[in-house]
Amino acid sequence: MPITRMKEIGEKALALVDVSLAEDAFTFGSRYKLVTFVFLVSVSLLSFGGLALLKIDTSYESLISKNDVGWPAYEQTVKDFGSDNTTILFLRDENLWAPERLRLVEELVYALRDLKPVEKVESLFSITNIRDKEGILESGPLMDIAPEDPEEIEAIRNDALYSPLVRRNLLSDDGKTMAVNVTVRRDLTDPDFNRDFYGQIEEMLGPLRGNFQKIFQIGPPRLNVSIEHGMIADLKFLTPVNFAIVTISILLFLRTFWAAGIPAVTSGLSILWTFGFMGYVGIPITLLTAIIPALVIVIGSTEDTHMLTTYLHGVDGQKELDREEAVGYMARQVGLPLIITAWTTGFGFFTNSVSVVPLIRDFAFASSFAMMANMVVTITAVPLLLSIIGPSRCDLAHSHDVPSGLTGIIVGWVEIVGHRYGKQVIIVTAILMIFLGLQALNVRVSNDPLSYFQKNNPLVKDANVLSGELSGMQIFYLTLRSEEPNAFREPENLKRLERVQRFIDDQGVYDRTISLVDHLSLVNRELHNGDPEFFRVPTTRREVDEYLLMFQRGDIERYVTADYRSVNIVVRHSMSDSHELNKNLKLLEVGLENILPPELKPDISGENLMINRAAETLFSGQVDSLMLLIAMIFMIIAALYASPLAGLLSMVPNLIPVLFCFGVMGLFGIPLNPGTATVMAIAVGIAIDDTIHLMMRYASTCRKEPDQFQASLVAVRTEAVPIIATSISLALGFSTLISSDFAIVSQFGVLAAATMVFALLADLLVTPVLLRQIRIVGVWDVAALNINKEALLKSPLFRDMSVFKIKKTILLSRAQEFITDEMIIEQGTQTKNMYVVLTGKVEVVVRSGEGKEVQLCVLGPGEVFGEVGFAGEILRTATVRAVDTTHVMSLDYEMTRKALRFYPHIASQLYHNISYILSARLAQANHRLETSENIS
Amino acid sequence: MLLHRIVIAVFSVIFLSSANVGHAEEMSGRQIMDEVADRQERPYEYEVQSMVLTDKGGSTEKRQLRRYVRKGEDGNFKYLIVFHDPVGVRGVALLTWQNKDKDDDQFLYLPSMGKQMKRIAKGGKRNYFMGTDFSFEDLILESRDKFRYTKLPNETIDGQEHFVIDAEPEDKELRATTGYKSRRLWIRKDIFFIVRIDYFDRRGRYIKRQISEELKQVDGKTWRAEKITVDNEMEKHKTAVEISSRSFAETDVPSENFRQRFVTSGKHIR
Repeated sequence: MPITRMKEIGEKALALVDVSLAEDAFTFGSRYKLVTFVFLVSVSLLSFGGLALLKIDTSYESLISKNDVGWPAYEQTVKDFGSDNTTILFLRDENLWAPERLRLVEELVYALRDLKPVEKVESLFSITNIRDKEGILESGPLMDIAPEDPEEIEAIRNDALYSPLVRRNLLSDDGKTMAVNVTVRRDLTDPDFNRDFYGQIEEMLGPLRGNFQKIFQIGPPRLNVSIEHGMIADLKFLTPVNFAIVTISILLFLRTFWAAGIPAVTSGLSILWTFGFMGYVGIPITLLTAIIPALVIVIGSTEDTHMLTTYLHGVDGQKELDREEAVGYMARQVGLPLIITAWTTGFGFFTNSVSVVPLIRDFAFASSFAMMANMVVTITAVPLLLSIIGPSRCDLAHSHDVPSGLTGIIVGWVEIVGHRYGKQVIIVTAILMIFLGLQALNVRVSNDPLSYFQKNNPLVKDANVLSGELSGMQIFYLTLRSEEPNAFREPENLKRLERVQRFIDDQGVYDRTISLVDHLSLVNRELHNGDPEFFRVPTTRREVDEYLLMFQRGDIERYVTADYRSVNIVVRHSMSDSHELNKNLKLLEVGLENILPPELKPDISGENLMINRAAETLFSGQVDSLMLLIAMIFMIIAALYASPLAGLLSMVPNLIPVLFCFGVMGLFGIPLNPGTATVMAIAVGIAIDDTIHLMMRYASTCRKEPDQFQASLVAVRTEAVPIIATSISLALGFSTLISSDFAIVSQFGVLAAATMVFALLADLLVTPVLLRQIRIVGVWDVAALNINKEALLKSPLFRDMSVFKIKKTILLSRAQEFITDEMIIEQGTQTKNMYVVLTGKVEVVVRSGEGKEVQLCVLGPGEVFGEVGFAGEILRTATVRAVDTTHVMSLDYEMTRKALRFYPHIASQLYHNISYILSARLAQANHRLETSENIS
Repeated sequence: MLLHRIVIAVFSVIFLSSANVGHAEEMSGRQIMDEVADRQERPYEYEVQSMVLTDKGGSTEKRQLRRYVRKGEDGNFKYLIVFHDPVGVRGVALLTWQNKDKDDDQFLYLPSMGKQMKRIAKGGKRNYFMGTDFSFEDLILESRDKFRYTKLPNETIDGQEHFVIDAEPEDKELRATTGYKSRRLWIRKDIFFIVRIDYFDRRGRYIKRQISEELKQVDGKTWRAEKITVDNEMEKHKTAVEISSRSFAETDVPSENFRQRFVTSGKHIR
C-alpha cells in the first residue's frame, strides 16, 4: 500500500533528523573551538567587504510599486510637460519688498538658473505679467532685476497680487511671503542627487537667512534628506539603547553577569554579516532597514536567554563544573526548539517579501537574512563562548519549584487565574476578540511620505506653513490628450478644460490649480481693459491664436504641448493621508467622465499619486504575508507532532495578539503604513517562539508525567523565566522605537511591543489551558524510540497498526521501567491498568494459600497482561514481576481516552484491539469454566 | 628742386594713402558704427519674411510676415510688422514710431480686438516679441548717440577679418529700460556689415546670439543677409528668419502705412 510505504520512508527520514542532530549542531562550537572561531572570523572579514558597498536610499521609487500602472503615463507626462520634482523656496518677511531683500532674491534666482540639474526657475523675476494700465498694455516679466524706486516696487507688488498666475503660487495673499519654485530633472542613476541638490540650495540660502524672518526649502530633496537624517538618528540611538535594555533584562532575570556579554557578541556579528550581505546584494539602508540592528539585538537575545537559562540549569545539576557538559545539556534541552523558532521568526520576516512596495520587500529580505545569520552565529558562537567562559553558578530556582522573584509573582498569579478562572479567562478573551475584531474594521491605509514623520517634525510644520500661505508642496498633473493637432486651440476644447479645472477647484480639497486657461483668461481680461467679466476662455479660435502670441514657449510649456494636442493642469495640494487623497481622486475621475467626450483622454499622474496608490497594496500585502506565515507555521507544527490538531492549537494563542493589534490600530486610529504593515507577520513569527517552547517542554514532560494538568504546570514553570524575560525585553526593546523621528517606526514599535505583551498573556493563560486537553508527541521522539519491532508488531494490542502508530501510542501512554524482581502487579491488591511488555521479560506468578509461588508464564515484548484492569480497579489474581530490566506500557480507560482524544485513528484501532483481547480473555475464561465444570 | 618736390609729393601721396588705410585700422567704435549705418541704412525698405520658431524639444512653429521701414523727414524711422500666416495670426501688427528725445511709441494690433491698437508700455521694449527670440528693441535701429561703443581687437573668422565692438547704453533712460547691459558686435571689415551679435542681460550674462548669413550685395555698398538666425541659449529657443523678397522702393512703403488707421481699418492685410 503506497501510504504505508510513504510513512515508512518518512519515518526513516525522520530518524535522520532527530534530536541528536540538533544536539550535534549545538555542541559543534564547544567541541571544535578552533574551527568555529576561524569560521566566524572569516565570514566577518568577508562581510567587511560588503559593508563598504552599502548604500543609503531614501528615494521615492522605493515607495512605489514597480507594477504600478501609472508609470508609463507618468513618464509620458514628464516628457511632455517637464518634471514634477519641484523644490519650493519659501521666503517671508514683514518688509519683504525692501530693495535690499529683492536684490538678494534676484541674486538667488540667477544663481539657481546656473545649477546644472535645474530645468526651470519660476519666480517673480520670471513670471509673465500682463496688465492693462489705463489702456496701455504691459506684457513681460514682472521683474527682471530688483527695482530700487519705491513707487516702482509698489506698482510691481500690486501687479503681482493682481495676477492669477502669481497669487498663492509665488506670492501670498498678504504679499509678505514669496516663493521661488525650482524644478529639477533628477538623474535617476545618481543616488546622491537629492542630498547634493539639497545641500547646494542650503548653501545658497545661507546668506539670506539673516535677512528674512522665515526662510526654508521644501520638496522631494528635503524630504529625502529628512528621511535620511531620521534613519541615521534611529540607527545611532536605538541600537545602543536596545543593547542596554537587553543587557539589563538578562542581568535582572538570569542573575548572571558574564552572560550579559554574550548577546553583544552574537548581535554584533549578526549585524555585521547582515550589512555585509546587504552591501553585496544591493539592498540599501532605508528607514525600515535602519531598525534591523535594533531588532537583531532584541530578538537575537531571546535565543541567548533560552540557551543561558538551560545552561545554568545544567551547571546547577553538576557536582563539579564541567562547562562542556552543561553545554551538552543545553543543546539537548533547547537545541531543537531554538532551531525551529529561529526558522519561524525568520520566516515571519520573510513573508513580507510578497509586498510590491520595494521598501517593504527590501526590509523583508534583509531582516530575514539577519535572523538566519543570528541563528548561525548563535549556534556556533554561544556554545564556543559558554564552554570557555560560561558562568559557573546558577542562581535560578529549580525547574519543578515555582520560580522566585518577579517571575515567581507572575507565574503564581498566572497559575491561580488559569486554575480557578480558566473558563472566565476564555470568555473574557473571546469577548475582547470580538470587540477588537470590530474595531479592526476601521483601520485605514496610508502611504504618504509626509505622514512618515512625527507631527512635530520641522518638515511637517514647514509643509503646513507653506500650504497655509501659498499652496501645498504635493503636486500632480491632470493631462488631457487629443489625437487632433491644435485641438487645444479650439475654444470648445478649452472650455472643457475650463470646466475640468473648475470641477477640481470646486472639490475644495486642493490648494491651487494652474493651466493654460489661466493664461488665456488673463490676456482676455487685460485686453478688455481689466474687465473681470472677461476673465474666461475666449470664444473664438482667432482670439485664442492671437492671445497665445503674448506668451513665449517657455511661459506655457508646462501647460500645453507645442502641437497643442495635450494640455496639463498642475494641481497643488497638501493632503498627506492616502485614504483621503485616493477618495478625492476617485471622485475626480467620475467627474471627468461626465465632462469629457471620449476623444479627450484624461490622465492623472504624479509620483505623489503612485506612492499613495501603493498604500492600497499594503493591506493585501499584509494579509498575504500573514496567511503565508500561518500556513507555514501550521505545517511545521503539524509535521513535528504528526498532528494537525497540534498545528491548529499552536496558532490560537498567537492569533489572539494579532486580532488585538488590529483592534488597537482601529481603536486609536493608527493607520496601516509601511511600518505597521510589516508588524503583524513579524510579531506572530516571534510570539510563536514562546508557544513552541511551551509545547515542546510540555511534550517532553508528558512522557514522564501522566497527569496532563501537572505536566502543563511543570512546563509553564520551567519555561516561565525565559518566556517572561524574553517577552518583556522584547516589549521594551520594541518600545524604544517610539522615540524615532518617524511616526511609522514608532507605531511599529508600539504595536510590536503591545503584541509581545498580549502574546505573553496568551501563552501564559491560554496555551496551558489548551495544551492540557491533549497529549502531544514530537515526531523525533517517535523516530528516536527504540522498540522491538517484530515482537510489538505481533502484539495483540498493536494488531493492524503501523510501526509509527505503535511508537506514537507508546509515547502517548505511560511507559515505566522496572528492574529485576521489581513488582509490577501485586496479587490481592486493587489496581487498574492494562500492561504490555515493551522490552525485557516478566513472570506471572500465583501465590497459593500456603504462600508458595507458582509461575504461570513468562511474558516477553508485545505480550499483554492485566488487561481486565483496563476498565477499572479490580482485585488482582496474580503477581507480575520483572525478570530483568523491563519496560512496560500501562493503559487505563480514562488516561487513554484523554490522551488519545485527538488521535481518533489510533484510539479506534486500540479500542478495537483491546476489545478483541478482552473478548478472547472472556472466551478463555468461559472455556476454563466449562472445562472445570466438565471436570467437576 | 622740382625733383625734390616731386619726391616729397610722391612720398606724401604714398604716405597719405597708406594713412588712409591706416586710418581704417584706427577707426573708433563709433566711427565704425557710423560707417556701417552709412552703408547699410536705407530710408525705405520692404521685406517679406518667413520665420521658424524652434523650442527646446525641437517642435517648430512657422510664420510669415511683412516688414515695412520708412525714414521720416525728421530723420526718425517708422516700422510696421504685419503677420499674414498662419491664418490664426493674420493681421496681427506692430507699429513703432521712433523718437529722438523721448520714448519710442509702440502699438500692438490684434484683429480680434476690433478697431483699436493697444499701446505698449514703455518698459516693455525689452520683452520678447510675439514668442520670437527678438525683443521689441531688437527690431528697430539703435540711436547711436545713446550708446558707447568700445572697439576691441579684430578677429578673423572663416578667413575674414572682423571688427569687434562692445556696445553699451549710455543714455540714462535707455539704461533703465533696455534688456541688455551690453552687446558685442562682429562687423565684417571689408563690407562693414554686422554679421554677428552677442546679447548680454542686465546682469551681464550671455543670453543669445544673432547671426546674419547668405550675404548679398543688393545695391552699391549696401548688403543684406538672406538668413538671420537667433540662437537663444538662455531660453533654449531658436528663431530663424529667411527673407523671401525685398524692395527699397519708396512706393512700397508709403507714409500712410505707418498710421494707426492703416492698420485698424484692416487695409494692412489686403
